[in-house]
Order: sequence, then structure tokens, then C-alpha cells
Amino acid sequence: MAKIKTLDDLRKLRDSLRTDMNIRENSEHPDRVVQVRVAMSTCGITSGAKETMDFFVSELKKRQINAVVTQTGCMSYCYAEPTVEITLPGQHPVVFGNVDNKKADELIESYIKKGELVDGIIPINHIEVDQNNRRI
Amino acid sequence: MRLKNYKMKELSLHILDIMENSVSGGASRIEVNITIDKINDLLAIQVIDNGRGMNSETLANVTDPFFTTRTTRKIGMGISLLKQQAEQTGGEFTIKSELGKGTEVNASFSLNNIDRQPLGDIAGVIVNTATSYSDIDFVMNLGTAEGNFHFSSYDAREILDEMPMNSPEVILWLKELIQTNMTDLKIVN
Repeated sequence: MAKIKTLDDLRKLRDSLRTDMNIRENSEHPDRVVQVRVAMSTCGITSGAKETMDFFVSELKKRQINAVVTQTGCMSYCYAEPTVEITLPGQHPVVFGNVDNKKADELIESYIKKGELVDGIIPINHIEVDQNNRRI
Repeated sequence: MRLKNYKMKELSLHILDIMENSVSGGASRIEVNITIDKINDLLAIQVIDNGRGMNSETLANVTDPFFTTRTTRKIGMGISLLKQQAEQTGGEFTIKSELGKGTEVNASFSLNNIDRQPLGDIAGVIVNTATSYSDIDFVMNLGTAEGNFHFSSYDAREILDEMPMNSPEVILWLKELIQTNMTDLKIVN
């Protein structure tokens, strides 16, 4: 396969993805997909939040879990960065603190795969964001 | 408050941080320009947004780490960390803003200075952010003596059509696109 060079080559990926049932399902039913949001505040970034986000993106794909991973702004839990909010389909969002790669691995295996709660939950009032991923 | 680390390990993390400021500022377009000029020993980073901007009072305080417009916390360290980094490596830092128009952050570094952090994962930072905010257009321009590379999330979304940009396949593909082009431009850390 030729090396990816220009954005035009994205058409080929698009066409192959169009036949992927999972992806179609996700865009039509976003509530059925696991949502992972990683806080990307200054504290979060200096504590490794970007690495945590990259870990979720590649590991969820490797472990074939249907999920959307995005970053979000400051969730204000500076004492517990990196913080990650996970919303399982049909459930309330849960925020976890001190999520390094090791903790992220545990969260994928226990909480995302089996719904088993893991240590380090930050009890909060529900954080609301609008459809553009910004806090209300 | 306990910060585990007072320093961003890579310049890309500063860019990530400033982009998040632009998002918070309500920008619908965020432009990142990176220039590498080996002849003049210069690495220049610029983040321009069309967010709500700042008035002169806020602008005067923005480089103070203990100043923030957030109501949930009392500290805003990102800008002051970047300013410190630029100045410590023999570079410069400026920030311009106009209420209702937007903000422009400029940070320059001496390419060869021993204290200059590595560039880091530019592709990752741009793609992670662009795919997280579907209503914001992200533009990145890389300029070196070897040539230029232009990336636009708007163009990517046009091509993707109804397909979402935040599927892992697309995220990884876009990162590879940017990385490949950076390698072609001989951009190393």
C-alpha cells in the first residue's frame, strides 16, 4: 500500500469504513457506544493526560471495544489528574481520578468490559456538556 | 493543589494546552502555525483563534499563574509555563487579543538551545483535539526549508462526509498522515 501522503487518500478509508457495521451503528446510535472523555487541562496535561488518552484510543481498538474517546476541558479535579469520565451505554457518567496507563488498563478490563466499579471514583454532581463537548 | 510536574515535557503539550484555551474561549476556528528555521536557529509556534478574546485588563494579567477567568479554580498556569519556557531557551513570548475578535499566542525558541524541549507528538495533539471538537475547524501549517505542509480538519470532514471523524481508524489514519508529511519535511524533535 502506498504511503499516506495527502488528505485525498482519506476517501479510500472512508469507503472501506462505510461498509463497517459498527461505525454506522455508532453514528446512528451514539448512546449505545461507550464514551470516554479525558480532561485535558494544564494540570491534566502535565500529569500525563495525553498519554492516557492515547492509551484508551489504541487499547480500546485493539481489544475491539466499541468506544469513542475524546478530550474535554478542565473538570477541576487538579488533585486527581489525569481524570477520565466514562459513560457506559444507558448509564450515568462516572469520573475516575489518577488514571495512568495502568489504571486505564484496569478500567477497560473491569469497568468497561464488565461494568465492575474500580477504585478511585470521584463522586461528583453530573457534569453536563452540550453537544459540542463543552461544559454547560 | 498538587501538581505532579511543573513542566510540559514537550512543546506539543504546550500547543495542546493553548488549543484548549482557544476552545474554552469559544473559538470556531483554531490555527496552529509551526515554523522551523535552522539557518536562524528558530522554532516558532503560533496559535490563533477567533474566540471571544480578552479585554486589556484580562490580557495584562494572563501571564500571571495565579490569575484565571475560571470560576471553579484559582490557578491558570498554562500561559505562564509557556512564556517561561520560551524565555528560558532564548526565545520570546507574546500574546495579543481583542475582545470579540480572538487571541493570538506566539512563542519562539532557540532551536539549538540545550534546554529547549523536544517538539513531541505534534500529529497526536492536533488530531486528538480536532477529533474531539466537531464544531471547530482546526488548521495546521508546518513550514521548514524543505517545504510546507497544510492540514485542515474542515477538509477532512468534507471528505469523510457523513462518516464521523472520531472513530479510532480515522484518528490513527490522520495521525499517520501528519507524521508522514513531517518525516518528509525532515522534521525531527
